Amino acid sequence: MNKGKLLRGIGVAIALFGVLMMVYAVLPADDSYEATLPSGDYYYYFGYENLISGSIDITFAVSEGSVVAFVFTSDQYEVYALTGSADYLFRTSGGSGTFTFDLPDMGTYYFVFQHSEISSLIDQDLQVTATVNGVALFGVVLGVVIIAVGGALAVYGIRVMKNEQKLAPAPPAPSDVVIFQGEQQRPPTQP
Amino acid sequence: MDEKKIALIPKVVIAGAMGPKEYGLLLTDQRAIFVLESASKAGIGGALGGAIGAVIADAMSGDRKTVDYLGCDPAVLAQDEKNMCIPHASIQSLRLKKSFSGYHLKVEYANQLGKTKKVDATLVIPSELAAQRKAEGVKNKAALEEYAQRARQALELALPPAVTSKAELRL
Repeated sequence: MNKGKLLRGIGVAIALFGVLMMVYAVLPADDSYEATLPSGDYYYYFGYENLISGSIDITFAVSEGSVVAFVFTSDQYEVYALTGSADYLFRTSGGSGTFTFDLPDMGTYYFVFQHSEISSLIDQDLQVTATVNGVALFGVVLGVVIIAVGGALAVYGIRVMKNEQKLAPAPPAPSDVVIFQGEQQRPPTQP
Repeated sequence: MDEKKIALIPKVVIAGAMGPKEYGLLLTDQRAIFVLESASKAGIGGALGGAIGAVIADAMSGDRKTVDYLGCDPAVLAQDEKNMCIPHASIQSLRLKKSFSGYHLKVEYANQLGKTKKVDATLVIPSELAAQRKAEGVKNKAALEEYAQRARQALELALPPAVTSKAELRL
């Protein structure tokens, strides 16, 4: 395979990978989290950032007792991490539960699980599933960049191919009906 | 016995399920070999869709085989699975006819299993020849007719009397 064809092939493959990245950034994604909240003043958190619109479905359950779940903005979370309490966007509690958090705008959001008051004396095994129904800005931008790089490489490969063809031209294709001189003979008569 | 190349019709097009395919028709003293020059890949781009599909289809449509008909061995071309090979002895009927859509070469032949197969190839004037004739002041229609006439002569020269006697080669 010559250089131009190789570059074109690689470019097309990269562009297709970019398309996959974009699809992955747009389609819903499931994340699972498991943790043990030790007895005492402990909490568990995870965050999502740079999601363009959409919502996040959360399902949680603890082995025993109950937990309190919060959703914070990044500013609210900073206060919570320092003081143990803060304003919140959403709050619910229970031994298990499901809720949907609609993303108000693009930003960073933290999901926090802490012992409920009566459960702070025990260790709690926590399981959380988050389904993200949003568009990940990073994935979209990265996908577009990869597609652009792949497309540019493919176009460059095509140019290289054309230059290679100019430098080493293939035998010219006949442009008219050809009778092969010197070999021109009547074929043997068929019985 | 050595197979002798008799003539070449540089461009015929055969419609297929995946789009038209462009062949060069090499006529030897033993058989007709339809040598695949390029196949439409529009379907691939169409399936991908959008701007990316268009870019890929454009990139792929640049593929075109260039066959050195003068130097090549007919047996090598005949072995290529992409090419189509019709031994003269298997031809049951052959017609070169002008129709509304152009000049068609219709061949009925028996394949290796004895089953009757049909090929309908449309004579298409190569773009280089069309451009050359246009520069010489010859109209496209007349240039195509000349091309078809030369194709007929090539067929008459290459095919054995047993085939030409029952062939319809009037234009």
